[in-house]
Amino acid sequence: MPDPGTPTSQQACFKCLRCGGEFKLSYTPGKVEERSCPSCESNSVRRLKPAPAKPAPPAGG
Amino acid sequence: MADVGRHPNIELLTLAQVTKVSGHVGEFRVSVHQRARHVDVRECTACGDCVKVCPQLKPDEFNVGIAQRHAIYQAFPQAIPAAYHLEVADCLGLNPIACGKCATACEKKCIDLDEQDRDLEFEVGTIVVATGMEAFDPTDLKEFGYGHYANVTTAMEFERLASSGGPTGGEVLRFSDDRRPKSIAFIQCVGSRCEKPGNPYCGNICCMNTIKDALVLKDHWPNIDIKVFYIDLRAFGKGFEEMLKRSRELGVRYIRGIPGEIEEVAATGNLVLHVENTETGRLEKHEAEMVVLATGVQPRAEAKDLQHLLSLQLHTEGFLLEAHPKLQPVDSPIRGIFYAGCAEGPKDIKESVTQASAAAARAIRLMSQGTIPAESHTACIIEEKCTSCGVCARVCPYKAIEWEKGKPARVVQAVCAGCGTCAAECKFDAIVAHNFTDEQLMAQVEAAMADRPGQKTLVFACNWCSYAAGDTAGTSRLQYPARQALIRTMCSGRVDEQLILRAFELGAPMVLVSGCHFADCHYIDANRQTQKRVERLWDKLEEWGIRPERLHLEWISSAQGQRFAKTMQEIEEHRARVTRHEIAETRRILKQKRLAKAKAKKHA
Repeated sequence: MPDPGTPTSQQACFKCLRCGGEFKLSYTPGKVEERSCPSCESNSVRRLKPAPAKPAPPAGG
Repeated sequence: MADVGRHPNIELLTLAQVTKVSGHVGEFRVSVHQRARHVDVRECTACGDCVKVCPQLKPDEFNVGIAQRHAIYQAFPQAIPAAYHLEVADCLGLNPIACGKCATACEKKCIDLDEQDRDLEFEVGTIVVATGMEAFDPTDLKEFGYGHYANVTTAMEFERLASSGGPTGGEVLRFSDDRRPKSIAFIQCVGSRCEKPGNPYCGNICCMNTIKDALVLKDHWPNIDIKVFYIDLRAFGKGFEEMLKRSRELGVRYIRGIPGEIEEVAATGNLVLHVENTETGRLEKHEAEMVVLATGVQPRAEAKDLQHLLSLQLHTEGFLLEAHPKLQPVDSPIRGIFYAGCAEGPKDIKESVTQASAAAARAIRLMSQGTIPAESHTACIIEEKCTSCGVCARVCPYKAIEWEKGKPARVVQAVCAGCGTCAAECKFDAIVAHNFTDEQLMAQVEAAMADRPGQKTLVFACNWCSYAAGDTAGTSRLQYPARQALIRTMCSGRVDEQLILRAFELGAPMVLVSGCHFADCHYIDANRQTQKRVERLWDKLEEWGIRPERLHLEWISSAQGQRFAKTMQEIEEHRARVTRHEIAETRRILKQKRLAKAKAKKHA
């Protein structure tokens, strides 16, 4: 069982700023890891933050 | 061991744990918690009278649990000091005394049941870390049946069985029926060179240990049938190939292939190994009366605690990382701390002794100097500017910055290695990195961008890896577009956000920050701060309407000349696509931001 205080790793979307490719890699919040693009091996890999949730449409017509 | 115990200049602290280390080379302050032994080591003659009356039995750690010991015991026959030790956790109780038979039986009255643990403090000049490793536990590898079948054992258990000082007096006996096996199968690489469960690296010692065991068995019982299942045999080193050859001549069979499954024959306790022989390509079955798993080695569970205690760095495999794998293999990145043995990586006895001798020599050399020259490019604090925010102390990989809320921070010059991360992270320009000051670096940026900036990529390269990779590319005559202006810093951690923004403001189409790969960082983990800073800057640039794609980050080691050339080639393609309009717009945005910041600072 992981320590409840330890952030667990999750899959996150990344974009390579060199070749423009987008891909998923494991990501642990707060942990700094060396990452490279699986296609061009560049380290200019930026995590794409999930878009903020859209506000719910107002009720009624 | 005995020499160490007798040496007048060596104080041996057993049952002790280091709890805190502070200070720096020449002046380390070490706190140690020493558990009570409850036996006076000066009086105890290890006669064994106390052991005879002790009613408590526990698994014997030295014999990896295949024998038992009493609550009062000697860890192993050659242990130093040669005295017994009462393990309170295994005793019936000391508070109140539940048994006390050992104290009564001791004629010399050297057992003190009231002895208390002690906390000690020392000042030392250097530290040698020799905390060893531990064997891989194969219980989770269900295909081998360890813990399930009685006659499947590990190399460590076998070692104790075959030892004349072991629980069976050197008789190799099966656990199921105490009978000597007529056939033994060894399986190599158990928990080594495999990812899950196990470790991806080679255990280093297992092949030769198996060959040694096979030779011992053949020496004692020439007719014993021995088969070794392996991926490949690594018998490198002086005399090792000859040992392998000799074992083959004595009839040891080597079968290339690791069994995928082991079954037990219920009636006999024998084991059937199912294996694909990768030399013949056939599936084979082999029966053996005993199976020995040549388990690999792994870092001790406490390695991470030790890493934090001494501000060291761990290799991806979990062993302690050396300052340089080729040129400083016994030095840690912290001055005055050295490694000996398997704490740094799996190695055999000969290698461990070699490294220990080297570590001792390194420590002596350092201490005999009497004084230690500080690095020329250390950091220092401008007290008037320091706001006591503590960021510098938090990011310093060497813990070289002393900081207390409300007081200006202070850099301990003997500890600072000069990475400059603190100077790059200080928002108040309160830190000067000698020889790499803000003014000096800014002047370099401005000089580089003074002429045709739109035609250039500004590259910040760390001294040890990426700058050296540029040299490697050059000496290898690798071709790449010569449109880079290179600025060298000791570490990529020194590359201040302001330097990058200034380069863009002066018209740089592209900026590259490059440093060592994470495992190679010459300043422990300073380049993690670089990555964090660049990630923050990507967000900031995007927010301001500047494409983050114009700022690149690359880890290039000194040997990667090809990678350096490829990176420059590809960044040049990016540079060519940055339009004049985009550069002008960037300059306008950044100038506006800079002026607004200056105005806000003036009003504050």
